[in-house]
Amino acid sequence: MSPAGPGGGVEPFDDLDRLSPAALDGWWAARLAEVLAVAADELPFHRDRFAAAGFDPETFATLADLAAVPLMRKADVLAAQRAAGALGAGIERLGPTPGRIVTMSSGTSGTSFLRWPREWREVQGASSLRAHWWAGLRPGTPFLLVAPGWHVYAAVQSYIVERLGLPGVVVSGTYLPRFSDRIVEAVRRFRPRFLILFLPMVFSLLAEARRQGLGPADVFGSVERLVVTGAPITAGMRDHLRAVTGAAHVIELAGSSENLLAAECGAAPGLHVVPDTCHVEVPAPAGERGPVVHTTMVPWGSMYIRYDGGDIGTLDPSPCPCGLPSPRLKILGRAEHEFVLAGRRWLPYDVQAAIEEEVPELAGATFAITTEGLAAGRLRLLLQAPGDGSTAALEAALARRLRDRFAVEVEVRFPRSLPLLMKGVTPVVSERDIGA
Amino acid sequence: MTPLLTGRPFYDARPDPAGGTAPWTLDDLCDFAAGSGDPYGGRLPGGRSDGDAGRWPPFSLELEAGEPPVWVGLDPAELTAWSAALEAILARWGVSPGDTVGFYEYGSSPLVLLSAGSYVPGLGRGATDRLGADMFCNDGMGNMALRMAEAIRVVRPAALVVRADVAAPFTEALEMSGVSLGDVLRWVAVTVPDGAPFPNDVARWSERWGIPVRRILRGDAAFFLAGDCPACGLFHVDGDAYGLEALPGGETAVTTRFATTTPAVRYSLGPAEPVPAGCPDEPAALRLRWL
Repeated sequence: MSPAGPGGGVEPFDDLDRLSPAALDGWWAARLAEVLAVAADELPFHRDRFAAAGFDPETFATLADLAAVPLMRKADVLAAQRAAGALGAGIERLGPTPGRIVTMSSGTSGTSFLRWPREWREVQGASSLRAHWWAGLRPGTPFLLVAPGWHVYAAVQSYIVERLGLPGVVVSGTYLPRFSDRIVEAVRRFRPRFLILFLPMVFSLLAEARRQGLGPADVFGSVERLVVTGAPITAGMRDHLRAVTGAAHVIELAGSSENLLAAECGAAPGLHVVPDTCHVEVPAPAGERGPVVHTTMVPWGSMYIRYDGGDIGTLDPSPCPCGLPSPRLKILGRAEHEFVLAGRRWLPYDVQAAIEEEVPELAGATFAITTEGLAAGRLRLLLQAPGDGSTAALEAALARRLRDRFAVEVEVRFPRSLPLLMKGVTPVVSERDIGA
Repeated sequence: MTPLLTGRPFYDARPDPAGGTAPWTLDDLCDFAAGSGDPYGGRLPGGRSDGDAGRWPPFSLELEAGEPPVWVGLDPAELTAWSAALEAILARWGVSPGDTVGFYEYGSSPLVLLSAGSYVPGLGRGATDRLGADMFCNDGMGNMALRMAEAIRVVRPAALVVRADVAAPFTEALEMSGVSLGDVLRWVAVTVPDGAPFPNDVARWSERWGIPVRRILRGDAAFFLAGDCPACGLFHVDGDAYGLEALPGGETAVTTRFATTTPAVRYSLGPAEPVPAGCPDEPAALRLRWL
């Protein structure tokens, strides 16, 4: 999928990509020791928590020692932020260079404010460039700077454009559906070969194209590599995106404001952890689901260490045919969206995968799961109605086939519309809240 | 016509009887862009580039006020010069090292982009960077108002730039959150995508928020930025960056000295009149009265 290097693997970005998995573990351990030492020396939030947990960074030697480092969660940061106010949460290492940016990480639990000095931008930018390199970004294409100003990616992508000498393009407004007409116009004008979008925006742009009487090729015709981020994609969704945009390569990139970054190579399932951005743990047997815990490798700015940000995923450490040494992460959803049916835990991702496997023509369909249905012990789906009016047949097929998969009664409803948020339709919603 | 403008279709089409270029407005530029199919409205040398990536400027920005869409191009030196105009405004309004400036404005706004070098490839250091200040941007949507109020409560900026069209939801959000701007900020500045906010609106917001409210005058098509002066009430203009010229009919044209990629010569800002220098706070500054 990515431009091939010798032997057909991913073209290495630099020597870090040429390490063996074991050597990368050694590299990670050494870098983590530095990060932990900085945190203990300079950052009161971490110093206090290390002390409370009885963890001494000087004893850290191998990745196995990470287990002694206390986990942190967003609630911890918000509490520290409330206590310290303008001074930050006590996790911020700000360099001597004046002029920092403050970005935001919003969610159901509240907004945290993260601080990033120029020292951070140089290191993080180079690491994020690695992820974009894996995804196939090369000099010679215009680059649409898509991140909103409140998001940390805004600083990273400008660095990438700078380093590769790409023409940088900023569309007015912001990357939300309301501005789809302008984004469509910009993509058609500048004809980028590499385009990164939040997943729901792909569908907003296609809808806008239809509204203007344009076909997908009129918008995405230049795009060889479509990188989608902001939500996990299933195999069926990837095929669907390829089909509806015509992009030869659809690549998933996962990231968070707090330091997580991973990108697909295309040679095997999962997204390679970007090693100089973060170290990732999934405290579960290899390949099984667990909370995604990540630690920054960049000792500047807001430093999150063993951060459980609420994502659920899997981590596959087995060797990858692409040659990259880092394990492959697959984020499957948010812990807050996990639900139980017939005694088993599920994520909306599972429902989406089941829908596209059982009724392939629904790959890429927009849907939501209702809390009212879950409370009644059944799976009640709100599905965006297909344009051909085939709702009755779909309803029957879906209800029958998903009942076998999830071992509960399944209901399918077709509301007039579903709410589109930054990352797409909220996967678990209350029918009362959306008037369904 | 100056050599800089020769071979640029927009200017080639706008000769004036004196051998220069005729004054123009944003509407003129948009019309030219629509008619020619050139997203830059004929201001690049040689006209439209037809998708030739080698001819795109290092940095392209779509003008929010342009309808149909029209783009400007800049190189790093131009970005630096434009950001210096913002720096001068913020400095005159008292932003100093250690302050934080908040923006309730789109990340694609020149005010945000020019503030921090982190956001713009090639800018290096932006206006707040050079002033030793930090900054944040909340995006410019009305439904982000509660988050903006939370940002003020937590980050405690010294100053805030707000889009006029989100002032109402922002005011509601402040009231819902119990955040008093006067307890945190020294000033708020209000901006619109083209021109300056109405004085009556500014007076109303100042009373409602209990804090001085400043005005920003923008002409993004010409990379023009000016801020009002607390002492004289007029917009101060950096004479090194901009030349002003009174036009018949009560308008003022600006020529932007640093603009070379998509030059801005005799751009009509709208209803305004140059006023002789002489403000007690900045005696040498060019001044402009927005009508």
